[in-house]
Amino acid sequence: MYKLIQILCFALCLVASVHAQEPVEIIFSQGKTLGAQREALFQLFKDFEKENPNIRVSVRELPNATDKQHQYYLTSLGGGARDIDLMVIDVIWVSEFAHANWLAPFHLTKEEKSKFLPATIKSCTYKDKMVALPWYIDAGLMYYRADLLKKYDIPIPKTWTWQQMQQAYEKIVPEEKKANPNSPLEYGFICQGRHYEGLVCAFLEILRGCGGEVVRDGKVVINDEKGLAALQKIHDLIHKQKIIPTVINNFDEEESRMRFLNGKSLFLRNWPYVWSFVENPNFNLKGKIGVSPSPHLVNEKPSATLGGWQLAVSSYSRYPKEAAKLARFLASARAQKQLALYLSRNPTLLGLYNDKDVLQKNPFFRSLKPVFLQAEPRPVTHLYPQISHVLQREISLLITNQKTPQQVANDAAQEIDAIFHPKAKSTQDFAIPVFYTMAGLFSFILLLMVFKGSFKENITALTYLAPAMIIIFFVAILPLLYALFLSFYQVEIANIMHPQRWMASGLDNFARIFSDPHFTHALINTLAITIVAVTLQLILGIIIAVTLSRSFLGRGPIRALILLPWILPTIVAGKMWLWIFATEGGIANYFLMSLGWDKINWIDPGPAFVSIIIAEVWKTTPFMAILLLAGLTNISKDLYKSAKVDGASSWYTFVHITLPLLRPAILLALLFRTMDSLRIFDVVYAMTAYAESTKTLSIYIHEKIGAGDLSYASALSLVTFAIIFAISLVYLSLLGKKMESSQ
Amino acid sequence: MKKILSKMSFYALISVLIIYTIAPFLWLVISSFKPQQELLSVPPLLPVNPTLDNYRSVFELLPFGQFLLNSAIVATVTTTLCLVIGALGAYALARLNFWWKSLALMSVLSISMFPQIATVTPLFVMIRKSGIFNTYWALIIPYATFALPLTLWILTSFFQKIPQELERAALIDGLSRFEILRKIYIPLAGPALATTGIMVFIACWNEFLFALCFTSSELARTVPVGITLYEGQYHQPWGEVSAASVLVSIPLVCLMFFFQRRILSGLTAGAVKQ
Repeated sequence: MYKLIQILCFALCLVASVHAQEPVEIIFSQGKTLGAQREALFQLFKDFEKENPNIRVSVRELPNATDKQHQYYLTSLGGGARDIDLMVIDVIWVSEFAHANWLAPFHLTKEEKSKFLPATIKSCTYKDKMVALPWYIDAGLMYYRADLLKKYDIPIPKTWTWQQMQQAYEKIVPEEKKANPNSPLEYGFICQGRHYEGLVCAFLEILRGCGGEVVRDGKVVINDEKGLAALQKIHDLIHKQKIIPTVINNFDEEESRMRFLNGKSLFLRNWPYVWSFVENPNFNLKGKIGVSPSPHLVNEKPSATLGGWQLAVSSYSRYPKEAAKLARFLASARAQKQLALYLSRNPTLLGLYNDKDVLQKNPFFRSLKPVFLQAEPRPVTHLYPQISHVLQREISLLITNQKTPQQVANDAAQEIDAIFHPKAKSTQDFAIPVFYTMAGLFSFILLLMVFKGSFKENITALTYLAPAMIIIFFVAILPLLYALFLSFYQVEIANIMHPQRWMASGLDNFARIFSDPHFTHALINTLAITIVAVTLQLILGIIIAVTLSRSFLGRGPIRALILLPWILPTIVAGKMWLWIFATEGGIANYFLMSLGWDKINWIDPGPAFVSIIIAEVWKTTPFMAILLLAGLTNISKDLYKSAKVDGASSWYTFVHITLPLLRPAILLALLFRTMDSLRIFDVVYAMTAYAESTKTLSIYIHEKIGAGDLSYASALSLVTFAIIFAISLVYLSLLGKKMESSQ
Repeated sequence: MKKILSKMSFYALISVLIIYTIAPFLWLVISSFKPQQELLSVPPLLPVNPTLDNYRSVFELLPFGQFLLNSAIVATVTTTLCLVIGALGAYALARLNFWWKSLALMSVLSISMFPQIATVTPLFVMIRKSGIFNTYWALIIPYATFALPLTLWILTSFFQKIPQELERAALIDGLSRFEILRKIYIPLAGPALATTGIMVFIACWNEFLFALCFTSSELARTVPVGITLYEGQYHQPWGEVSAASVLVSIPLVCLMFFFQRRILSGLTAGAVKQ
């Protein structure tokens, strides 16, 4: 009987569960798509939902900028977020995320695997397990001006060697200029050269085409004989033969594409997406532009860097099975065909490159297949983000000729080697003693705060300050303590939520800071930017304040307009200045040139510093001006009147009345501006990102966080904090003295 | 003659100042009326075929109105919260006698010294655990905290300037301290509150990094994150970005225009002690 009831109950539960089964909602996270592309994509989700009525797809859209997505995933997955089920990730994140145990494995049969392009399978495999499904692929190509080459009777080879390109460049550019002085043609070969990931993609192709390599079989080879020769060749191409202009350090994909399509250059390295512009009848380019594999030396082979996006199931997903089902659906031939037709995405399935419909819509896919078959990945290791930062920096220095190829080879090799083989660490655990000391100190101070002096007054003060103290404790003090603890350990981003796996490292992180030349460099940059920018802000702020304190027609609206820079979102202001200071097509250079001056490459070290100062001063002067203006209107008018009666000149009154009385206002404004300026981030990040010549402390910290070096980033933050604290103390002592003396 | 000359040079100076602050913004306004093809090359400076397409696509491609609303709500609530907390604290710092006053002021100030990027990860974990992720509170609470130093410093120095006699009289009349704060200090500090209010408001309006990491849907995202959503993988949507920036700036310029008088009188009496 009892058993029967049990069975009955079980059956009931089963029925109930079937009945109660609501559709499972899986969250699909990817970069934002817009317009018709979005409709095509969402149609796929609808088809999937129709076939799987128990699953509902909800799409979470992120900014398309790769670094912003990376930041988002590091924060979310590092924090163990369970509300991402399926995500679309960049090929270079696969190892990093898999190493952090964030990716659930896929089980594909040999036959299933054989349908994909082999390079994509390799890039989705980590420690012999498939951890993602290749969704669409990219690989570097070279575009050339077929019309010009034909005009000057230059034969078009199957693959270009640098020698052939050099001959074409030396022949065509001068003759084109002679024939038509207004011809925009100026450069030989352009590629992506900004300080960002795209630079590594373009550079690896050139390096490999010259016979070099960065890492081979887990060994750093960039400084071996071949690597060094290749670097020397690249240096020559830029600085001796000048077929590659140094202005490439301004270019990302779109910049370089536009300059090429506007006729600025003979050759362009870019991704396949550029071809859709060539085919677009609006641009009228058909037949004028050809495409080939990337250039190489006579006895070397062309190389293509593998890029592309993968479907990965989060290991925190609540519905991994359903998410995997959606992934398989989206990677299926049927879905990929739709994406190829409507989004022009390059499929990862070999078969689709022979598909009639696909080829009819994208005829150039035929020529892409061999390139994709040979595509080579960037170094496949979970440490890649750190390696990429080293490469970006060293190549940038090579482009601007601040380092010789020998120096670049040695420095890059040394740093990448250090990333692979971190030095033996101290294992002393400071966290616990520090924790007890701090807890003791805090409770001691708290006790003193209550019992020292008037008990009643203390309690009242505590009550009034309680809300402020509570949120400050949670939002500011806890993160600071967290950073302090992190800095005593060597923490991988995977273990961020598992303190039991943190490895104690004593004070190593702090010791590292003081022997880190990049830190010193960032500190000097930060101080230089702060001193110059804050001084300029002060001078301009005083001028604005003195001017606006006088009454004149339309003072109200003008006062409001002067504040305009302050209210423009910083991220927009940064982009706006980037746009104004674009070396090609920017309005700053346009004015310089119409004044008869040469154009300036605003990304080169000196000009970059100037452009950042201009942007920063523009953005924050209003804040300074408004504080000073207030200080001015506070000065008694009688003082000025009596000075006038005494016949003092206006300069004399300014120096002997205005400035001394304005001192407290100036100091307060300087204090807040200096604290902010020492942490400057947004403007620099928008304009020059991680470029060495303008790298500030906050940028350096951000770089280290992005590369997964959390402990070191925490130590850096604490040292930055200490530096700012010390500088503020100087201001405060000046301010305090002034306050006392004036009271 | 000399007077006219000095007047002329004065207006020249004003014009230079205005050009310096407004010219870059004007460039955004001009660009927002340019069609895609004309955007990235000068000359010509002015649009050849002016268009409203950029404004249309700002609203068509994304729920930009929702972003504006989110930003407005987050900034308003943060400002209010910050002013309430700040006024309470500032009153204690300005008028009560306790020995740890400068310790408190200094530790509040030190919030503005720690690089904010380093707080993202721990804050994210806390916001997740407390269940406010992807709500307005996930932004309001951090924003209010990081705006507190400026608020407390300005309000404290303003409160210090209010004559103590007023307070003594009120105490004799039997008002509690809280009533004194509410009935005497707050009304008198109107201008200072307006000043700090607008400063906090603008800081919230501009913030990006927290807004990116602590929200995940269009229902909670603010304008700065919204603007980055127009970007394609390679494509920089200058047209939409400039149109969106113009749209964002208009309400704020109006706000500024109405508040600038108050700000200035507020600052006059506040922040800057003689």
